[in-house]
Amino acid sequence: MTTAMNLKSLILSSFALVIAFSPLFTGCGKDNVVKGDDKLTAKLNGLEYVGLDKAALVTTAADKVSGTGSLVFLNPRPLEDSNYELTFQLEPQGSVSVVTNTDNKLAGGVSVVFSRTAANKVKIEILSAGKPQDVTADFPAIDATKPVSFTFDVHAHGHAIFQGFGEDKEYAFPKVAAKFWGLKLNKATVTKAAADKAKSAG
Amino acid sequence: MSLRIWGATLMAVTSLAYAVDDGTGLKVSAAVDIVGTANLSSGNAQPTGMMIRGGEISLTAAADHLFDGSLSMAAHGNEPQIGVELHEAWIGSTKLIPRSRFRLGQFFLGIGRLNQFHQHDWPFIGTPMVQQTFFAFEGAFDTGLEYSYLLPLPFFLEVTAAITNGFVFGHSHVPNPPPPRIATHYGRLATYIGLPWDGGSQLGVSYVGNRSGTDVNLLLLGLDFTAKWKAMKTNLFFFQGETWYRELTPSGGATEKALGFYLYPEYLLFENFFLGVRFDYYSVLNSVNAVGAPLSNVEWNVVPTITYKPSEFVLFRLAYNHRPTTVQPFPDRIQKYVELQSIFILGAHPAHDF
Repeated sequence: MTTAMNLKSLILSSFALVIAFSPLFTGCGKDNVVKGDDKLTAKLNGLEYVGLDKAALVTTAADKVSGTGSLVFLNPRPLEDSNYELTFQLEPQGSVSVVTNTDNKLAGGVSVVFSRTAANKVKIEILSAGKPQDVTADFPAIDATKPVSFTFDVHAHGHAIFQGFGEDKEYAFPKVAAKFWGLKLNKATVTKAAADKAKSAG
Repeated sequence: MSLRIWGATLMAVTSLAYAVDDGTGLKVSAAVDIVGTANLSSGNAQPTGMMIRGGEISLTAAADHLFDGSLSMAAHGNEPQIGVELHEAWIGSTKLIPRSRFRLGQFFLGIGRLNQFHQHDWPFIGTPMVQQTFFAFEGAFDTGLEYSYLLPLPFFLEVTAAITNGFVFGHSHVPNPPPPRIATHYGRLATYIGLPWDGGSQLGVSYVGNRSGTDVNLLLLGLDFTAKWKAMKTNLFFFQGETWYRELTPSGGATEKALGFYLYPEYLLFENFFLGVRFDYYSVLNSVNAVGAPLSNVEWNVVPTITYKPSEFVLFRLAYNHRPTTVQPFPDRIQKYVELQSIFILGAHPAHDF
C-alpha cells in the first residue's frame, strides 16, 4: 500500500511539474525569428512594409508600389482568416501575387496570382503547396489593360472565397498556418492593398 | 446535403426511436442546441441573431456480447450551407481485452476534457478561445484506433494511446487533402482523486502530434482538471478547467507558440438554477512583426453564466461575454455580447464518464 501511495505521489508530482514549468514556455519564443532584409521600408495605403530583395521595386507615392520585387507587410494578421483587397495594373507579361498565411520571407502559405495573358485578359490562379489551381474560367473575362480590383477571403483552415462576382466563389486548399502577408510584383503596379477581418463565415 | 434530406433523416431516426423498447438495448437520441446572440458592441465575430447551432442524432448499442457501436450525425446552422456531418461512427469493446477498452472508426479525439464531449453536453454556451483555435468550433475528430488501458494499480490510472489518419486536424474544407507526413497520434494519462466532503476529481495530461501533408508540424500539450461535489444526480459545485500549449511550425518557417486556458467554476444557486463564471485566456507567446520586433497578443473573456436545468433532458442558459483583446499593432478593443441557449434531448442519451 505504501508503494502504491508513493507511486501515486510520484504521478501527482509529475502533473504538478507540468503545471509548474508551463510558464517557461513563454520565455523561449524568439530563437526562431528570422530578421527581414530591411532593404526597403515604406508604406502603402498606410500599411508599413519591408522589401525582401534588391529587385527594382519602386514606390513613387505613398499610395502606389510598382516594378518587380517582393514585399512583406510589417505586421502579421491578428487571426488566421482575413479578407484582402487589391487594386493593380499589369504591364504586358506582368503579374501580381497576394501571398497570405505565410512567413516573413513569403515562404509557404497561399498565393492568389493575377497575371496578364497574351490576349490581355487577367488569369487567376490559387497556388498552395506548389500546386496551382487555374480558376480563371469561373470569372467573367477581365480586361488586363485597365486597373483591376479584387476582394477575397483567405481562411487558413483551407479555402479562398472571392466576393463581388455574383455568388461567392470558393476554392479549397490544404490548411496553412502562418499569419504574415505580402505581395510579389512582376511588371505591375499596385495602388491599393488592404487587409481586414474575414467577410465570409465558415 | 439539403435541409430536406436532413429532415428525412431525422424522421427516419425518430421512427427508429419507437424501436427502443425492442429489447436490443439500442439507445436513440436527438439533441438540439439553439443559441441566440445579442451584440452589445460593434465588430463582434458573431452577428446578432438566433440559430440552430447543432442538431444531432445519436445511436448507441451493444453490437453483440463483446462489441459496442456508436453512430452520431450532426447538422450545424452556423455553416454557410447546412449539411449533415458524421461526428462519430465506431465499433469498440470493453470486454475483449482485460482492463482495456478500444474503439475503431471515427470519433472525437480522446484528449483533454471538452474535446471528448459533444457540444450539447458542454457546461457552458460558447467555445473557449483555446478550444476554438487549437481544435475547432466544436472539437477535433478523426478516423483511427484508440486504445485505453487501466493500469493494475490500487488507484485509478488510465493510459490512452491512439493513431488517426491526420489528413486534417480540426476544421477544414479540403475534400482531398494531401496525406500527412506523420499521422495524428496522441496520448492521455488520467487519474481520479477523491476530495473532501465526498467530492471527486479527474486529472489528465494529454499530448498530440501531427505533421501535415503541407509540412506543418503540430505539437500540443494539455492539462485538464474536473471536480464535482454531488447530491444525488445534481452537482452542488462543479469545476472544469483546461490548459493547452501549442507549437505550430510550417516547413522552414518560424514556430508559433501559443498558450490558452479556461476555468469554469459553477455553483448550485437553488433548485435547478446554477451560476458559473468562465475565465478564458489565449495568447500567442512569440508574436513578432516582419523584422522580429515583439508584439503583444493577449485575449481574455469573462463569461458569467446562469443555467436553468429542470431535468437532464432540457436546459436554458444565459451568459454575458466581456472579451478584451490586445493584439498589437491593432487598437485594443472589448467585445461584449449576451448569449441565450436552449438544449433539449429526445430519447435515451448515453451516459458520460465522470
